[in-house]
Amino acid sequence: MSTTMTADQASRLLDFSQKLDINLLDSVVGCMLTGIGQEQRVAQEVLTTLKEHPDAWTRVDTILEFSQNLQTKYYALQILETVIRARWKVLPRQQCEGIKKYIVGLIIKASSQTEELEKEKVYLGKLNMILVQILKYEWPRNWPTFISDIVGASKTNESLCQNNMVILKLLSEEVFDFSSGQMTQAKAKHLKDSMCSEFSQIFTLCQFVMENSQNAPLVGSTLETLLRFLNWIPLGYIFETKLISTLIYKFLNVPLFRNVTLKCLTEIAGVQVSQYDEQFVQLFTLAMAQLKEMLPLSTNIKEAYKHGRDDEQNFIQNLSLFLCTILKEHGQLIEKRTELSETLLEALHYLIVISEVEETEIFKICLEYWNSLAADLYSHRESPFTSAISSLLIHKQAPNEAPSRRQFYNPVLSKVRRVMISRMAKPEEVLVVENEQGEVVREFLKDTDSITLYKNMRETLVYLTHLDYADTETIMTEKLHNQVNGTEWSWKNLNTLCWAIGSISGAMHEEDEKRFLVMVIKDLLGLCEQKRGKDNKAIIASNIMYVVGQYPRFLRAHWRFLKTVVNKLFEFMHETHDGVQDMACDTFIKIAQKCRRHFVQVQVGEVMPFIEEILNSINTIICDLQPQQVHTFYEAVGMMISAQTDPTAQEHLLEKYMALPNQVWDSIISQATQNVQILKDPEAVKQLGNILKTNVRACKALGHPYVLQLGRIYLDMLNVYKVMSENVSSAIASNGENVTKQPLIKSMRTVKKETLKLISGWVSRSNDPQMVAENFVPPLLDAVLLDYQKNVPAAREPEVLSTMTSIVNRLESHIKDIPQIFDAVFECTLDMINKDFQDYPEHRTSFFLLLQAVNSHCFQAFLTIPPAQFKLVLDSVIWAFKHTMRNVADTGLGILYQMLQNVAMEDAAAQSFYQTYYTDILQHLFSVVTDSSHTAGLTMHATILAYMFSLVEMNKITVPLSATITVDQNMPYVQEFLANLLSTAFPHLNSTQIKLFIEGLFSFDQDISAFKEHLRDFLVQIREFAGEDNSDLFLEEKEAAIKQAQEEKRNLQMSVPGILGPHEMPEEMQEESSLATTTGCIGGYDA
Amino acid sequence: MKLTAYTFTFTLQGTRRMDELTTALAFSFGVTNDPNASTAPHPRYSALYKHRGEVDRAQERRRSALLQNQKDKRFDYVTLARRLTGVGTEEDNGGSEEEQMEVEGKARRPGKRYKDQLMLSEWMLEVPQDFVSEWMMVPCPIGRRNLIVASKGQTSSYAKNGYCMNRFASLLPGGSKNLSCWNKDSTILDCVYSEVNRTYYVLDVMCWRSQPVYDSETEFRFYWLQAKFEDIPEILTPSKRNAFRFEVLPNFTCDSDTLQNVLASPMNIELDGLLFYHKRAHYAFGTTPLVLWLKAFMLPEILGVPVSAQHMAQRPTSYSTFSHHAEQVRTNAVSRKSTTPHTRSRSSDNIDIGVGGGQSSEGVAMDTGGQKSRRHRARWRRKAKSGSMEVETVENVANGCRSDRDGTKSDGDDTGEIQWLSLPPTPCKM
Repeated sequence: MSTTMTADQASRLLDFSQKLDINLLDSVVGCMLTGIGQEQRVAQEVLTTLKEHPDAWTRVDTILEFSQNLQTKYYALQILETVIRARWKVLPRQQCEGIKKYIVGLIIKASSQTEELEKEKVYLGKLNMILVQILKYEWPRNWPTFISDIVGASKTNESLCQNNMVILKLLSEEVFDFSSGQMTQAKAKHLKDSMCSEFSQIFTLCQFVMENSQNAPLVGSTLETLLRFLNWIPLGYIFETKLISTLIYKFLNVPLFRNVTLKCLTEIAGVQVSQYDEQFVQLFTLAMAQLKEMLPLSTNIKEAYKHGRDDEQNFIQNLSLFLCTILKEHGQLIEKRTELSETLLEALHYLIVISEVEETEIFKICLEYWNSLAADLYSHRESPFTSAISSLLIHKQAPNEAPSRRQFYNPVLSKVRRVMISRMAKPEEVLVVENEQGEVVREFLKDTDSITLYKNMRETLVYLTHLDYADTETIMTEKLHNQVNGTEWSWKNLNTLCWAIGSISGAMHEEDEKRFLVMVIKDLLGLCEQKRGKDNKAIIASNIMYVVGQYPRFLRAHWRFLKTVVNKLFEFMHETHDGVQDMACDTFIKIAQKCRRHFVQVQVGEVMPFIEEILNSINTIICDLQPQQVHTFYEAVGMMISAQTDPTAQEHLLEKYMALPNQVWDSIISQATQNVQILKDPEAVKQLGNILKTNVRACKALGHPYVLQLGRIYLDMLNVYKVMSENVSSAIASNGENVTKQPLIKSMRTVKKETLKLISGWVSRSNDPQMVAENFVPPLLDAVLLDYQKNVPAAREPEVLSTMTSIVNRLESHIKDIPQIFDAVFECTLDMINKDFQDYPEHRTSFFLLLQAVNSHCFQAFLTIPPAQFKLVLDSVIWAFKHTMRNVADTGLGILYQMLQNVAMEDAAAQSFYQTYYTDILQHLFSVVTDSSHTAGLTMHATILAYMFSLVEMNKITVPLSATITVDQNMPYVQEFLANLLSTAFPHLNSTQIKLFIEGLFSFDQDISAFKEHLRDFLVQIREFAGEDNSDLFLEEKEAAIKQAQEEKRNLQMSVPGILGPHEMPEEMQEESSLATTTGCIGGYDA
Repeated sequence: MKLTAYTFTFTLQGTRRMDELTTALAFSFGVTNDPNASTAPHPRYSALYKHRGEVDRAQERRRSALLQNQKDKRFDYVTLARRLTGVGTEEDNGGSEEEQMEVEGKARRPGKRYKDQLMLSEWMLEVPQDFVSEWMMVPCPIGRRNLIVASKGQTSSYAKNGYCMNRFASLLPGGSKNLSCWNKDSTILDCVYSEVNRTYYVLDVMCWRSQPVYDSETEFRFYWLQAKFEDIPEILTPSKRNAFRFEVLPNFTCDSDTLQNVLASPMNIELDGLLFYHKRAHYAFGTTPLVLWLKAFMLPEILGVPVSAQHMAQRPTSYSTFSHHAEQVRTNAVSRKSTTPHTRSRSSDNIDIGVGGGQSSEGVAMDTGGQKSRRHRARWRRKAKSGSMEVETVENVANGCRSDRDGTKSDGDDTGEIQWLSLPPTPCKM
């Protein structure tokens, strides 16, 4: 049947004058789910249209009753859910009652039989969810007896009770966990209060089930429900009842319930109050006693986890959470009870063996605790363990008693050290990627899970090392020996150990560190000699170099060793085994960074600084490196040169340093002066790109002093830029945009991009803005700006914009060429990006960043440009914050806020600005505020709006905002403007809602977070049809809150003399204060 | 007082441990442990070099073993050339990269793909016995060592580690689509690329017009190379069809006159160093003692050939002469004494005596050293059959090189030659 269905037939479903053809609907639904192509599309369309039909819900009961297809029933429930979420308030009351009763009836029917309950689990789940949606409107006002109804009904039948537990759980989640942004604050608060006040009934029910029921699924649901309650119910229910002992004695050791029980106990353990100390201690001791029976202390948890079922693995995870939570929150309390020290050690033992489980998530849980324990012991390491007694007997006992807490933990800490050392995470991650120019490059990643884990482990191990460095050393030495004697030898183990050794750099005393390192390196060198095979040797070599690179203090103290290391690295730069050259370059730059000064000083036993030797043989050192490695090498050497503080000596080094690239550069330039065609030669262009990349790295390392080299190549470089740009542009003009994929054009663009990168990199590192503005900027603008403007869009480099941004950011007011820059780049770029929100993403981002830079550093320039151009600027800003590209929208909002503040400083300009743009800006802002795809920017929206409303409220606007009003009507004018705007956009809202919203906007304009919540509440409201009945919106409460905020704001203003003008003050206060002044004067006389 | 002495000794112990560690790092640490590989500093020119007290004959031994071995052991070079040029079958002949460490004289297998395909030099530690008759010298310019493979109408250059540095058109057989037979011909060369001159300087040829010459002797390969390039003089100028210049490096005989002349006359390359090829050597993969390497400034000291001041200026600054070097080693040894059996008494006085003793022994050693080396040099010169050599120049340099070695090394005479390379353990007279 479904195969012959036509659009015509299907659309009969949409005819509400006919009786619904259930069979047809079933087949359409079937067709949508299993059909293909055109047919499926038709089915989809019909079903969507039907769902959106305002009367669709009236068919739901028929469908649910007669349809044979479960999918069709879900479809019907979806219709119902949509109507409840959006239009409940506008449905006639008796219909609401009808739906409610109908749903309750369905739920009771489906949940009364245990078999049904299992079979229709998903269907029932959907029904439960719909009931909770209804409850959010109806309870408690229209359905005050809901809680007693459900509790009462639960007693009739166990399977019904089980489902009711599910409903209560859902309700708790909706009200307490997910209410933000889904309900207005006032409503959420009201529901929470109702739930708390009626909780005793629910609790009694739970207690009854837990104590009496033998029905496992029912008990299971009850515990799940209880778990949701635990984070909000009044504490008395937890600590002043038998709840804790019931959970532990009755359920913890039942395999079916142990996971949910443990979660409940964890939730309880996380409560931070002081009046229930005894109960926490009891929780700890009882749980531990029970746990020891379930999981003997001798269990090999690592193995058990490895071979365990899901449920058992979860148990281990929950156990780690429980122990970490209770020890972290109440460990101090437990420590003080000496009779519990045995139990405490047992708990710590569990945690240690759980820490060995090979599952990162579980390890992270344990790590968090170990970290806090180690940090705590470290911060109290000097201060004595203070108990009431020891403070009394402080003179006698202090010296001996002092370390008792540490003594207690020492054996545990030693085991923790071993865990940290055996599992140390990877400290750095390198990603090999292809960049847009088609080159394979390596990127160091900063924020990966593994690196975060490393940082936490490192911190922990450093604390632990401070607490007992000898023990750390012993463990590391032992593990190193196990590498050498082969018992623990593997690449992974060696790496892990060396990462651990590298991680505690600086944590030992210098002499100990030296002794330790000498031993480590000696052993590793021995290991390298002992192992056969290049793979083995390469791994060991990398580890040696890693360890060495981690200890710059050691290197700096031993020059001959440092020099030998560096020479060895140079040797490795010729090694062809995979990865060794990369390792050598990475270690070299790391060492250069940390020990740079030592390379430019003449060391004992040397005739000249080592940098000279490096520069003398630089040709041979780099001759087997790949281009990217050469660039790294240059950056490293540049760092050394940057450490030379004597300008003459530095100049000499710099010259030698850049000699090789300059030689190639000069030869190409001199050929180009003979015949410019050489700049079209692929090899020459490639070489130029490469030299510029070397320069970029040199500049990065040297900073401002790079100016010597830059000056040398600057004008030639700009000429090359112009030629390249013309070449690219004419190639595109004659062959179309596809030509940009050709290797030659790509390398020409590389030359352009690297030139710009070099200049912007240097400018942002320069320290003489005046000099840069006078000498370097004018030729740059000449070469780049006009070229940018007249190029075809595809040949415009976004780096032009980012270079201009760097210049503006660095030179600030020293740059006088803003109008020139704007003339060249503004309109033509805007033209590229104003057609949609996606094309030219790099130009887009850079363009707005340039606007931001000019706005914050050269705002005066905006005041001098013609009004038409200024309007274009403002329109661009508005365009920016309408983007859904998060970074662009944020930039846009940032600019707008800054611009409003800048404008306010220029009074004359400000007033005409407000007059022209104020309402425009408001309108555009509201269009994004109420658009759900912009919710991420809500804080910034709130900040700007609050600022704008306070402008009006504080009478900062001294011109009428409309031709038809006077100045003092500005505020009502704005309010009316908004009311019109909103009621046109959201006709389903009623006028009271809107009025209150607008009043709130003004009242909360001094409190951004309240303002934001106020906006958020409004966003909730615009999703629902309000109908006539406002009671559910808790408008009175809202109104009261608004009044209160207004009041407080006024009080605050009054407390600061002068904020309120004399005409705003109440008369009595004026008198009082003048009286006070008089009294003060008299007092003054008295004194 | 006692404490001070103790602390001092303790510090000295620390210094000694650091010295040992530094030496271990410098000499016994590496991934590919090729003896005397020219990528590391020349052992003698390293401030950390320590002597085993004997003449190192290993290089010579390995060399003769290799020469013997290359006659027996042959690779299938046709398949290798096909694999590199992609012309012909796609057979994997590379095999696994076995470790061949310290197996003297065993030929290496070529590396995988384009990696480790080049023949690399060792430092010349000692002058080979057949130096004048059996060796050829090639002046080597500064640049990157590249493997050039021309095939299927395109020329590719690869770094030592197999990384493809560039692809372009050249007039080498098979190197550009403009050539006839571009899809059949192929060429493999060993070159040095100079970025400044945009020139590939050709050191050696392994395959020409699909004809492998790996297992031909150096003398033939060099002749072949010169002859083939004379046929295509246009390869010396860059053009659309030939992106880079290719220039064959000249080779010279190894008598000291020729060497001196070559170094004295102007060169059109920026000299990096001198490569010495054994005439009977086949083309091998990786570091081999059949190709040796010296920097120009090492010539006076090692070969007794004087060079211009310009070349001498290239010397590493930490090294002036061998005697200075020896002194450095001895100074370092002072600290070591505190832990040698004689001086365990932990008295700072002992150390003072130790220093004095060391200095006095040096003076005695100087003279005899001078004589020994002169004798050796004379022997080499006799073989070279070039009688007239400015002894003074040689002496001047060599004199300093030997300092005190003969003071204790009296049995050096037995080996008869070139023991001047080694330095004995520093004497400690108590």
